[in-house]
Amino acid sequence: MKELIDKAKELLKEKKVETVIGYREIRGCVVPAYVDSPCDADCLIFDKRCVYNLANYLKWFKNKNVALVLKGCDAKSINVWLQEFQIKRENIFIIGVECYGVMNEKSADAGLSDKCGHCEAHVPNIYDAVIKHQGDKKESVQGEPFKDIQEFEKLPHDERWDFWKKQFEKCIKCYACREICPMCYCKECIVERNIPQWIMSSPSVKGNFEWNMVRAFHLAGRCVECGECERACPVNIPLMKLNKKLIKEMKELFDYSAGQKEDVKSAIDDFYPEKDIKIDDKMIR
Amino acid sequence: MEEKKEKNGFEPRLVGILCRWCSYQGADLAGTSRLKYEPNMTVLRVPCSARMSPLFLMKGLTSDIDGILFSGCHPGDCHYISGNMNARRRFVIFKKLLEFAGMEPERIQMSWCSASEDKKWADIVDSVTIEVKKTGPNNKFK
Amino acid sequence: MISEMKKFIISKNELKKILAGIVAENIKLIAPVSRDNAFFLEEVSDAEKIAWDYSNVVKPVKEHIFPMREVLLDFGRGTDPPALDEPEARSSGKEKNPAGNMPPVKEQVIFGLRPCDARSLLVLDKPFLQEKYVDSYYKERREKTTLIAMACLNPEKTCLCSSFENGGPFSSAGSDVLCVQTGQDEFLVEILSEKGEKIFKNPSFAQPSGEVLKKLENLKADSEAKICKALKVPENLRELFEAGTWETESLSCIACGICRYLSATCYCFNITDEFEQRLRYWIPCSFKNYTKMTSGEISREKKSARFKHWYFHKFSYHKDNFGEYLCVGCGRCIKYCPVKIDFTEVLGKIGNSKQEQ
Repeated sequence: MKELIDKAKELLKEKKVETVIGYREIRGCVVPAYVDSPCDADCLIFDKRCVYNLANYLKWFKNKNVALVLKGCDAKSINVWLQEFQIKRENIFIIGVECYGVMNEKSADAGLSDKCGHCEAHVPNIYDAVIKHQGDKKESVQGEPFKDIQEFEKLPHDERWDFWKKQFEKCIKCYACREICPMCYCKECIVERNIPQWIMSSPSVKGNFEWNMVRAFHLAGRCVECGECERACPVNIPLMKLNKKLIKEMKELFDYSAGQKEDVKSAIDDFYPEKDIKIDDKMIR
Repeated sequence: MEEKKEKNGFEPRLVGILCRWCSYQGADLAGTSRLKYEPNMTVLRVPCSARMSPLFLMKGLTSDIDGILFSGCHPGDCHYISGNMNARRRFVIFKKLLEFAGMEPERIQMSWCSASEDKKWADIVDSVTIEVKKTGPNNKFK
Repeated sequence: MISEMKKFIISKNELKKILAGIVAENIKLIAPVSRDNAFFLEEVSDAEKIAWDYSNVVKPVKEHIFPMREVLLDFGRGTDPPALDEPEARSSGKEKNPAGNMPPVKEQVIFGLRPCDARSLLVLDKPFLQEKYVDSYYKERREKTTLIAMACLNPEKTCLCSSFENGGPFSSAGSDVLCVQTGQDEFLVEILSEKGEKIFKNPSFAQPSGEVLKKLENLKADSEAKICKALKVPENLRELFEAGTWETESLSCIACGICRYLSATCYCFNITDEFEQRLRYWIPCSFKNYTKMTSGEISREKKSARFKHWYFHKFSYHKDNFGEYLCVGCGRCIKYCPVKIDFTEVLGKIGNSKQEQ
């Protein structure tokens, strides 16, 4: 923690950045912190409760010099932003933190979040400075990463439809999933277009189904599995199930994972005719 | 075909989104050649199969359309060089997502059909219609 | 003053039987049910499915009087698209009943809502049922609804209902019947209106003994002691409109719609046409296109302006127009905010800031 605070103070004193975005504690819980001056940097912390993906706030700091405190999963979002030419690398300073798991806010026993079980990025793969981990380092649980998706796929299609219908009935179209996702940065979202109206804006099973499917599709090859959408959802819809399904498909069909490198083309943007031809046998007449 | 239609039989409503350079011309040739095939499909013409968008599929399926077919040029023959390659990737991903959510896979299909393949076009429409008929009407959003 | 005759003791099974009787009379019964680790007020047909062990439901009770999506007019032809082998059906087009397009609203009984939610309907009555402008859709549902509230024995740490004059975890304001669970299998029921009397018709329930009334007082005191938050609106809020603190406080806000949708008293909506229906649906003022005009101009473009507007509507404008705050202290905006913004804290910081020149 001291290392983190010192680094933040150094960056602000030397005026390398205007703001440091990190985590601080207030009333017993962790919230995002914006530090503009070195004397305020003492509030910065990092521990198991720091679930937020702070890369989301880049949406409001696009042309400014900022420093961000990012875990491994969050730093992948920066790679995707760079792939899509949304920010300039020289404008951001990434303070990477070595992380071995954050807690699941919605579970009663404060166990680790689901995404941490298969983490392969304990140290972020893009950073300008790294803060080493304090405390014991527990290695992630090895196992089949997409086991729950494979189990779900074995169910017959009408059972799957019933499950999702019940989930989408709960959706209130608050769009918290969209606002908290760093990858959802469109200035005008497709749901806000009403000439023509592709996605119904009112909450109904039809409109909710359309919205969630299209959002999952727009994140294909871009979702970094930070899990924020599922955490933010007030009615507990398992949004990560949809996103993980597409992450699995991208891996199996195109051998692609989002956010690993900053200078490759996203899989949905790219094509390899010699490899893709094998899709034709199974899926195209 | 007309004489076989029973009043109680289910006739699916299908939509075909055809690329204007290959598939639409192939379908047109099937018409000029007076080939007989199932009449359930309404055809929409787009400049290239790359126009394929998940929004078309969503809007169709939630508006009680029973099946949607995309058709484009063969890989390597796209008039815009690589449009059908992008379409292929996008289609496959969205189809897998919809299947995961419980939509029957027969409702969403894609084909490559060139401008000279009139017989193939008739076969495609026939087989899609039969498959969707077997799957039944799309009642999910009624 | 309710006479002692209108209070009585009832067991859980007897209460369930009365609720089952409501369903049997073809009246809609809405009660809390558990779904995926959260509780929702939903229509139930089987009294056994009702959940009893919850702090509060996720969505406020306003959604049953002022639905999230409500069809105002139906101007469709009234038929499904004609089948392909019936071309003549296309032109005949059976007409739907044009007048009174709406399906009739069923009588409904809402059981298990908390006192804060019951009070929220009293607050919402003011804008929707004004003398000059009566919202007929709201009025019909409101008149056909009976509210059976369940007092709060375990308020959450985000609750602040006691800050309001007629508020509190055992408040009877706004409900037709108030139930308090005084024992494992014992409920003290208080009838507060004629609508409530119609539900509990049987006069032979036992009267509460002095011991039970004492228990009630103790439970009430315990519950009220658990409320640790208080609302303190700065007196000069209007003058602090341009304070720079709004900018800093709104930085971590992500401008989603959760606080607006889950607030028990927010009521802004949009009207749109979808297919063959004109409908209205909730829309939060945190979205940019909430203030988008036909010219394309958006009057609250900045996030801090949209953040600020919510506070001013609830604690300044509504007070000026209707004489009370647009808030009942249910605390859902604090509990479900994804970035844990607490509006009482924001108001405190604003109160301490100085007006910018």
